[in-house]
Amino acid sequence: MKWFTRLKNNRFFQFIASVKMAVPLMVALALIVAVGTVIESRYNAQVAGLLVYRSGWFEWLLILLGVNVLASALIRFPYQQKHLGFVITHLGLVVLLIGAVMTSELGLDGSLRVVEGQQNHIVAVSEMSLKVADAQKGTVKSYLFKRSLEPLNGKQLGFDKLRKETGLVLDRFLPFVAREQSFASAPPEAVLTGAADAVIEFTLGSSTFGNAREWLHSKERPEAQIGPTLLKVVVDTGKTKPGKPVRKKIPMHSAESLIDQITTSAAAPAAVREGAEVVIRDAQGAELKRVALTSFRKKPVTINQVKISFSKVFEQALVVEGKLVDKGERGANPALEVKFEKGGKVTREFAFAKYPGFSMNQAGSAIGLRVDYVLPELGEVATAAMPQGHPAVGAAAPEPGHEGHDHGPTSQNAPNGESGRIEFHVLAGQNAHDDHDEKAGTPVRLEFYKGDKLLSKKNVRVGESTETPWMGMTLVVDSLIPNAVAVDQVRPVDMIPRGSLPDSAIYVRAEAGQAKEGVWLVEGDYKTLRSGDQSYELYYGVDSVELPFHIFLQKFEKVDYPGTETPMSFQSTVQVNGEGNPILIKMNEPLKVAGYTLYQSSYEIGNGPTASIFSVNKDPGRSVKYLGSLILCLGIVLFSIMKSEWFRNRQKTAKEGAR
Amino acid sequence: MSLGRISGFLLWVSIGAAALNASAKSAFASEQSFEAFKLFAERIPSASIADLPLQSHGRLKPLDSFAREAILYVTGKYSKSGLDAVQIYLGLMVSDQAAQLDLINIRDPELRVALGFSKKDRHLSLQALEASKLQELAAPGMQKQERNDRNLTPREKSAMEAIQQVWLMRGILSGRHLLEALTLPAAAGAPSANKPDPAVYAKTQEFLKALANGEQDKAAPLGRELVRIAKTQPMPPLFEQSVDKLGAEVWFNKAHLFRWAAILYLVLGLVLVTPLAKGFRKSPKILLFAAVPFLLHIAGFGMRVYITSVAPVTNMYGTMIWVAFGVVLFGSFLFLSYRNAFIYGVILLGASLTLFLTESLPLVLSPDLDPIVAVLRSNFWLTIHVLTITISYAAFTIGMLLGNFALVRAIVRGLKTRKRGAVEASAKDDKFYTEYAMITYRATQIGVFFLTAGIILGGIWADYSWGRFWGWDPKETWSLIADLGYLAILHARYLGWLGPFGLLASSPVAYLLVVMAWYGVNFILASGLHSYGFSSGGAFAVTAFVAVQLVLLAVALAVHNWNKSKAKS
Repeated sequence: MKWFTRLKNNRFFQFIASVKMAVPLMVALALIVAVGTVIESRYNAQVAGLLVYRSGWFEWLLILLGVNVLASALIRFPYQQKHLGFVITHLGLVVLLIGAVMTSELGLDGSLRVVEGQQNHIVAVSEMSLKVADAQKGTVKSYLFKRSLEPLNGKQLGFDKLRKETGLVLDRFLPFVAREQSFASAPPEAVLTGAADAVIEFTLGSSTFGNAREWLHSKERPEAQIGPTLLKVVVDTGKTKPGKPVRKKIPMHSAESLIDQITTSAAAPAAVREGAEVVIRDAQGAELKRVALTSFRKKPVTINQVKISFSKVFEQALVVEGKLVDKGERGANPALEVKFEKGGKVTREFAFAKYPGFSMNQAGSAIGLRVDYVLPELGEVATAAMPQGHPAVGAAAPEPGHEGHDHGPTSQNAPNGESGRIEFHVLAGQNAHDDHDEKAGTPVRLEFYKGDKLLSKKNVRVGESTETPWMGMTLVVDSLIPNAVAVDQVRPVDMIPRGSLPDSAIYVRAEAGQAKEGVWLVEGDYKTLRSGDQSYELYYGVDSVELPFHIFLQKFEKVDYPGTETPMSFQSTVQVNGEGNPILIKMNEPLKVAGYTLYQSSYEIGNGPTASIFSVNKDPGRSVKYLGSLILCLGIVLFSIMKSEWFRNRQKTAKEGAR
Repeated sequence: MSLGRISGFLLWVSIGAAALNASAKSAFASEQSFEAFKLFAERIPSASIADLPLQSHGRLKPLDSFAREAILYVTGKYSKSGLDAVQIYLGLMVSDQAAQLDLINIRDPELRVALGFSKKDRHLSLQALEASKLQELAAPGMQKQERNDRNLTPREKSAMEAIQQVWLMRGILSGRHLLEALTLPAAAGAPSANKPDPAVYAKTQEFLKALANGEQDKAAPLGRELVRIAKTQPMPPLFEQSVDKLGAEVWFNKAHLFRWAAILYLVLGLVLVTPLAKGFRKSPKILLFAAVPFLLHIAGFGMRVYITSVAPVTNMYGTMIWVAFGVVLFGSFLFLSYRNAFIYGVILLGASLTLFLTESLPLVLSPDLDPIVAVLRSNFWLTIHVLTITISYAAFTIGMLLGNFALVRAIVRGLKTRKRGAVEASAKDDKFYTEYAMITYRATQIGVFFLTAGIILGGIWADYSWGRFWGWDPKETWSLIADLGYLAILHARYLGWLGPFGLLASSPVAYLLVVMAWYGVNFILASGLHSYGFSSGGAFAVTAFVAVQLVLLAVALAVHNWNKSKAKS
């Protein structure tokens, strides 16, 4: 034990073990984590984690504290009775810290999303990774990636292992980006393989409504509904084979985004006008109810089990180039936005004072009700005067996730033979590529139909304006790319306080290739990188871990407090590996399987399929932490008792008695 | 909202519309009309109908609680001029002057001015507010809220609160508010109902008509009959469990157990800190006197547990009641150990103050018993960890009280010693500081024990419920910060860095960390997983507390050091 005596006499060890070090450490730790909570409040938990709690130096601070606590217990050896409480308390703390380290180093904490009626075993964890699949060798390599809040270049990133093993180079890292997708003319080989599609952008203009700008894509979005008018792109000729649809999440302008702009970009809300009335009619136009707007604003109206409630009024509902123009005079185009609620389904509808009967999204007709917005200065506008198929915004954009296959709503919504249809006939494919005339641009043949009847057709070029044969609107083809491929770009953005963190992106290229031949990978992206005859499949995003078992979700249920929509509990009925008895996982009632614990953490109900989200946890440090906690609490109790007057007096009397 | 409810509502509108017509005609001063209203409303037999079962916020509650909550929100008070909440509520429903009464409490003075009223007009009538530009002022805030934009300006917040008060008042007057509450969700297995039980509905109308016609003698038996029918109507099982507790809740609303406890603590505390208690300063019999309010305190807490079936530590109000309980509990132990009745008196005064504060701010510290969010339901560990952590706050509160007492004394005596001999005073001071520091030290030890245990129990709960022991959530982080603060004090005392006065002076400082962990995380940071406890309000009071605390500390330290240097020279 000579070394121990030497250690005890070592001045440095004495300092490490001293309370003199402990107090500043405690104060420093308290200050640092306090700053962490402020960061979390101003930004979010992720940022606070990256900057403070999960940063390297913070780990060292905790280790230092652990060493200090351990040393303070060691230096008192050999222990006397008076040390008992002290030593137990501090050892308990050390055990607790060891348990914490074990959890963070060896444990698993991720989330598992299972769709109702399906099974899953892939757990997403919080670490980021870059995965590289080599098609030739058939291998998949995974590289963990530590997210930073600063942009980094290749040297700072230093992914030497990646370069050595795959020949790929990480050039840049951007912490916060937004994706942007544009279309460019496809290279000849893409046209040959049929990977190219026609993309057309156009503006449908009117003197009253301004311009509605829309786009069509021959595969992903061949049709769009604008008011009662259906617009369709038809690829006429060419040897184009149907290719794989390109995954695309962000459309250029979609009808939905326009609706959003109408409702959200209005700077100042228009005032509710005196004398304004709301008339609710049935599908045939018969008046069912008439209420003053001032009272409608306060209390919704329910008719035929449809609840109609007030959302907003607009003085000037004008959509120009995808943006609401607010400089219009009072009453330029007053509109009212209402909400229909039927059987839990909510739809929005706009009623334009000057154009009664004009429906933006056909929701009204589906529900069998129509809302008119009547203003005293306009008087009752005859329904007959309604401009059929006025340009506004339609609801034909495919929902993200639908992958553009399902255009059901469009065709269903397209009203019967009365409505108009405009077709863009585009010459695409190999022919188009050959015939492409750079100067004049590729011609588009416009065909105007009323019902099934072809009214007129006309060849136009980009930029040329055409009068529609009905309602006197103008149609301009803004751009046309007969053989287009999607080009992904990333744009650095700023972190939004209190919002969720924007995605990060990395730029990967082959070491042998040119610097600009790489690809940007935004979180969650799968992409192919080609360099010479090499081809890599890349993935960048949250890392995932495979569970040794599958979880099959039979049913997810959400129970509310009676009479409210506040959830009282949510629960999932699951089967492990799709067999055996169904098991219920509830809030506070986790499922333990093969060392993993599954907790009900969240759910997805609404758009798309119902899914349950579990947090999956494997924690080898758990028992150590519990043990440490127990020892710590025991220690404090002993500590307090042994320092109390009562204990001291007892000892004193015991000693005196012995004497 | 459904068709049934609306059409039912329309039936009742006729009563409201009659009120509007009448109010348009009458032009007499509002005070006069309140007198008339009072004469009318005080005859409403509220006792006969106080336990009428109603549903709101997912809970079955008696009309008494329902009306109290509504009247509090609208008027800022539970009662007015001797009228109880039920009388005001029902009076408003059937009175023909309701829209004219200056009852709606616009809490923001600036907003009153912006609406074109005088700053002094705390209460305004529905009619006046509906004619004002309140709607316009509230619109920007409403839009932000619709977009889930949390960055509301104080003005937007107060305008939105005011318009919600107006809507609620309108809802009360039209009968819609009551109608919705009468409409119980369907019983298990029954088809979903969207209107009240027909029998209940008919009886309610009969009762209200009797009130409107001024037939008060007829109304009382009708009210009792209505309550009987309403209690036996079909309802969901969760509600059925509460039917028998409605009477108890009404009793609890009226009994004001916490207020009585606070009064008795105050009296006893005052006796103990004055020379009145000279004869029995060290007698443990003092505890017998303290036992009376303590039992009332426990009874009140027990009633809340009985009514909700969960430990009521789910909001700020509940935890403050619990902390006051802990202050008395630990104070009694410390009195038994150290037999210092004066200190016990200070502690009791502190507990009394806490209870009074809690009871006097119902709009900030909501005492309602509405159900808790899903994650908090039926969980043993949740209850235990919250109770353990908050009881530690009680021990720290004792330390804070004694520390502040010492600081005030240091200032007072420091100024006095200028006249008398400094040396003599210093010896007396040392004795005082040693004694007070000892008790503060013990209180801090108790606090650290419970806080540490509570943090660990919180970890166990998080582990049990979410699968992780520690996640640097702001609430848990701030508990840790407070714990570290007090641990630093204990270690610094061990090192000799803090003497008796130092310990007494640092205890209130560390208490600011407790204030942050307890209040600040929810009300100031407002982020993190503990978001279910979030609300706003009271920021001014807490800021003032912190400011006064820091000034007191600075002055006391200055006086103390000046005194010390003088004693040395």
